[in-house]
Amino acid sequence: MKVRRLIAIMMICCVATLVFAQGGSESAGEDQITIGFSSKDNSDVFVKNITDAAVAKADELGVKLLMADARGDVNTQISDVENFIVQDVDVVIVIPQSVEGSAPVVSMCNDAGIPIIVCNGDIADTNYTAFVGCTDQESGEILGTWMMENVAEGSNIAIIEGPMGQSGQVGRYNGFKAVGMLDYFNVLSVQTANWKRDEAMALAEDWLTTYGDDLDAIVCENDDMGMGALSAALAAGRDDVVIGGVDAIDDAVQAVKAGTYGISVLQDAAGQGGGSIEVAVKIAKGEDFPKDTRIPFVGITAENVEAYLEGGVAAITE
Amino acid sequence: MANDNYVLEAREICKSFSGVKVLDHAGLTVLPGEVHALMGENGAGKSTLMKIIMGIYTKDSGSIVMNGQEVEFKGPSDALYAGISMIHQELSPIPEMTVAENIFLGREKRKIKGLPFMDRKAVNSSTMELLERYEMAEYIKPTMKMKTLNIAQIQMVEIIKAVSYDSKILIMDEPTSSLSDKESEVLFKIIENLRSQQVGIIYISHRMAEVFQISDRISVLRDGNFIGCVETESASHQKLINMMVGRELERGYPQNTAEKGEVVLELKDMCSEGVFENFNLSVRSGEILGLAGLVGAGRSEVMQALVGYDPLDSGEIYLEGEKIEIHHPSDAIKNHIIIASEDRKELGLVFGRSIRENVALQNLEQVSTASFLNKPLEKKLCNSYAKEMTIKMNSIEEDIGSLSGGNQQKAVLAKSLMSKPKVLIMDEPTRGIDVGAKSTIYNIMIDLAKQGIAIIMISSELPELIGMADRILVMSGGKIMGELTDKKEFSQHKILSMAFGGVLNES
Amino acid sequence: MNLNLNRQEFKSILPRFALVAVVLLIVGVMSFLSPVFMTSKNMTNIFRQISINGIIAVGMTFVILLGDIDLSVGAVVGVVSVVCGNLLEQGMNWFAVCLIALAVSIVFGVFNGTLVAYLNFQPFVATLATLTIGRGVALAYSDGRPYIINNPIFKAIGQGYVGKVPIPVIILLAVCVICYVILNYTTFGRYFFAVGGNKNAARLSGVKTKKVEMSAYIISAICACIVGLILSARISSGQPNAGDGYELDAIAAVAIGGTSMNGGVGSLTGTMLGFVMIGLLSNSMNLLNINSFYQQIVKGCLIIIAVYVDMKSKGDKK
Repeated sequence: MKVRRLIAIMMICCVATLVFAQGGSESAGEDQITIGFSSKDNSDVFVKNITDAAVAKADELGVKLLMADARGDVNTQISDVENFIVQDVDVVIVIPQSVEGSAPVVSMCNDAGIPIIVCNGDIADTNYTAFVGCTDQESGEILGTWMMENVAEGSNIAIIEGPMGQSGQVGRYNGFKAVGMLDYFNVLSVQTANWKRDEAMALAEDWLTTYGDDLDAIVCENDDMGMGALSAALAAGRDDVVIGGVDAIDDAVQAVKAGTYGISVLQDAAGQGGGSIEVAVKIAKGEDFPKDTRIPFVGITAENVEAYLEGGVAAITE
Repeated sequence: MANDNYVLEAREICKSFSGVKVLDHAGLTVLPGEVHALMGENGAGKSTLMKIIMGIYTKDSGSIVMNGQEVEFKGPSDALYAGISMIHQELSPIPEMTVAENIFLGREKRKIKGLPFMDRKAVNSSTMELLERYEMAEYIKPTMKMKTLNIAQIQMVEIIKAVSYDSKILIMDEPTSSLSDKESEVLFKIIENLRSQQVGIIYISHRMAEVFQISDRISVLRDGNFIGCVETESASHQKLINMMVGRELERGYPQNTAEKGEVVLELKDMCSEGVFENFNLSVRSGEILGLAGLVGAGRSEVMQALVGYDPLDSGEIYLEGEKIEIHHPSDAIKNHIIIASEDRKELGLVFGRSIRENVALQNLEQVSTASFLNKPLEKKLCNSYAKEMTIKMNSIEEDIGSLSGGNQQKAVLAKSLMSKPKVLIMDEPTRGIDVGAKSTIYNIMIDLAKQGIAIIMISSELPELIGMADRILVMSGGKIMGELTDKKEFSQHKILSMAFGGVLNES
Repeated sequence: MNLNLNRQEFKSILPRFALVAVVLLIVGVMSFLSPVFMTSKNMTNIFRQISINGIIAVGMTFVILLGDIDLSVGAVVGVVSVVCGNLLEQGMNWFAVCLIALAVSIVFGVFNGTLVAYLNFQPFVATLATLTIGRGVALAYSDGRPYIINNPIFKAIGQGYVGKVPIPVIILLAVCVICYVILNYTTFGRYFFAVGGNKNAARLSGVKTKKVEMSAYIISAICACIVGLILSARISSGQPNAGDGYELDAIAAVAIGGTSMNGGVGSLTGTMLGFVMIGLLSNSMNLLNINSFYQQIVKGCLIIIAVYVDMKSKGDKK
């Protein structure tokens, strides 16, 4: 009967998938250190840069790295960490998907007696073993300060935010607040574009139509959205609108070089990914480790863009 | 057997489904320009044989020969291009398209070769040509939308579509089952025309009269076996019936000897705007009331409105002298007014579910306590009703869609009877079912009448109506045109002249 | 198993055998490949993880049995999450909060049901609109910010245990049992198959088809509400973006379980096997450290294979 053959094929496919997968992951020695890395969303270029750096560093140090991707869902992230605990990894590293929502993973790890390192973003429960990264607030502060230095007081600005409630959005917005940017300017509108270039572009187009020449600057919480706003402004013939963002993605840096984009705040993805692995290995080996590793933000502007393009991060962080 | 003249020859075809032999060395031959009727009880294997010829099913053994060459079709489109097409019982037009677009669907004439711009003019004019050649131009125009056509017209479109593929063989499966007598006559004329143009026609029908009227030869299948092929001229009703059922079947209709009691149901001034008006009716227990009329006269509509399926603008319903309100079919069921619908596939049964579930569907409160089903009881009750109706089945858990038409109809009746009807409305109870099953259903009707059930029977087959009914109401255009109360005065002529609104003076 | 099954019955359960076989196969292969897979801790994890998708899929089964679809469940999860978060933050009793959440979800169910059953909207369009409205309501209600949930009793809904069994798993079992009984042992349940198989015939048989359709959407919304409660408790916060995309996972589970998208044919046991299989597979792939991008490819292929086997086994009848 046909069905029986199909079942057989289905079974073979399943076995093949699982066996191949097993063949792909290297077998671990008894005393090899195993690290579980819970990423928030690997389809995000910046996050992918962090995890790629982590994988490279783990290879270099000869430790086993289990990579899990929450694909933007808090519940999946919690499940991923649960899986790491079952596998009894030596250290868990987590890039929190949500400040509040991801918080339970900290107590879960603590209860299981597994050290937990929080990487890149903020998390509500601060009982973690170590932190590697930078606070999102800091990037907001750098961006806000630059804006205040380069755009006249009382100018009309608009702000494009990330997905509401995500640590990037909350932190960066708090950064704007902390340096007083919200009071320094006249804020016309604050809207989210969910980190998306196309949504930001549509938003900026609408603003340019609504406010016309009154709009002086657009502050974006990441570069993807900044690039969207920039395209909209240039299409409307408004090269005078000051636009800035965070992440230092390639086209943003090129735009800074071309003079159309004001500032891109560089977050050192490789530094965070590699750094968190280094700390994890120290913890696993029982060595002394830094409890709070700050990978500094730095703004890429017209002044240092050439140096950055030539010498990379090192050339501008010293 | 060898005859080079045959356009189509199916030889020694065998086919089994899950180990059950459906066709056992069955065969059929067709000459050009011949109408070859294929008869047999439901489940005799007629449809299976046709589907094998069309390439819808694959045969286990045997051969199909066209014009002396053996052929093997992979599917209906293969058959179509080889010159065999089939007009199915259920027609499936695309409602928003025009007649011409439907006919040339998939082979639209292009304005410029390779570009998707349809040349409407060319399509319309070739359609017109075909319509004229086959004498249908007075009934349909190429630019009519399919959704505006009635079943007879849609059938014509299907026929034109078939001949537009240059078909040498046309298979018609129960083509008159949803046509009025007048429409059937038109169809016969078309068939006559096709015959004169050397098209061979395989004509599947249960209607003895029309088979005798139009066919040249008649082949009979029984239980998957080829019983025989006779020249129509030398055949007789009795002979064919014997061939089909394999036993002598008494002719005529059983007598309703039930005692007529009190009036069970009375309808007063039922109106539904644009559908029917001033509809009055009363029926006694034990009585079989016939409802005659042409297709579209509003017979089914008024009955569906009575049971709360279709909207009713005004009117009063009295059951056993008491006024009742029916707003939803569930109200009718509660009052034991049950309809066994003509359209088994659309309204009667839930295909894909078991016989048990279908029979029990409107009677679940009988087999449940506080909404919780008593499954053993359900099984037992449904089984007993199914057995009573002599449904041929492997198990009550079988998909109802896998039953033959006659057995589906019996299942509809089993379901209706389980609701313990006081009034049973039977809408075309014998449509599309075979002679054997028909007589079973007639006998069941008499039994029910004897149990004191009032039966309202809608039928387009006048002999059946005349034979079964105690009294006949004739409808036309949503109105009652007349009533025949004396069984002796029933005649097709009288009924038809009322049905045509008195316009027709001779049949 | 009863060995006196006739062919018909055997064929109808055959595709489910295929699913059972695949589930057992995954378990067998995994217990060989991963030492932690068969541990009670991992099993606990798997079932806690599938409870989210499982409960929604159970509700979705009712809707799909009618040949309809409910895309709004994910949004209902989001609305329930923020409503709970806000009310708990204000110190309301946890039980009262649950009742209010239930009422809110029923409003969504009734809204869907009204559009589809009484106003004859197409289910896809109607629930797509509700999805959009619901997500908007969640964001507007919370102003995009997550709420922190500290109520320990409420948190237990997502994080607690009864004995060794996590509470979400107990809720999942309860939902499955109740819905199974409703669908298979009540007149009401029978109507779903009839209406899904042939709405007109069901109505002529006295079934109140509109009410059946309405109740399907209410059941689906209530299941989404339960998930909203569990999820919020599990992540200790009320998130406006909670449940994003959950409708698709649920539909996948129902499809794998052999329920026809055309309605009338299907079963709850199939759905249960469907979500267990998805859960097992994603846990397995996580344990084997398979890249998340490939995991999605495997999941998609699985749906195709499962539905194909299902179609074939049904098609063999004729």
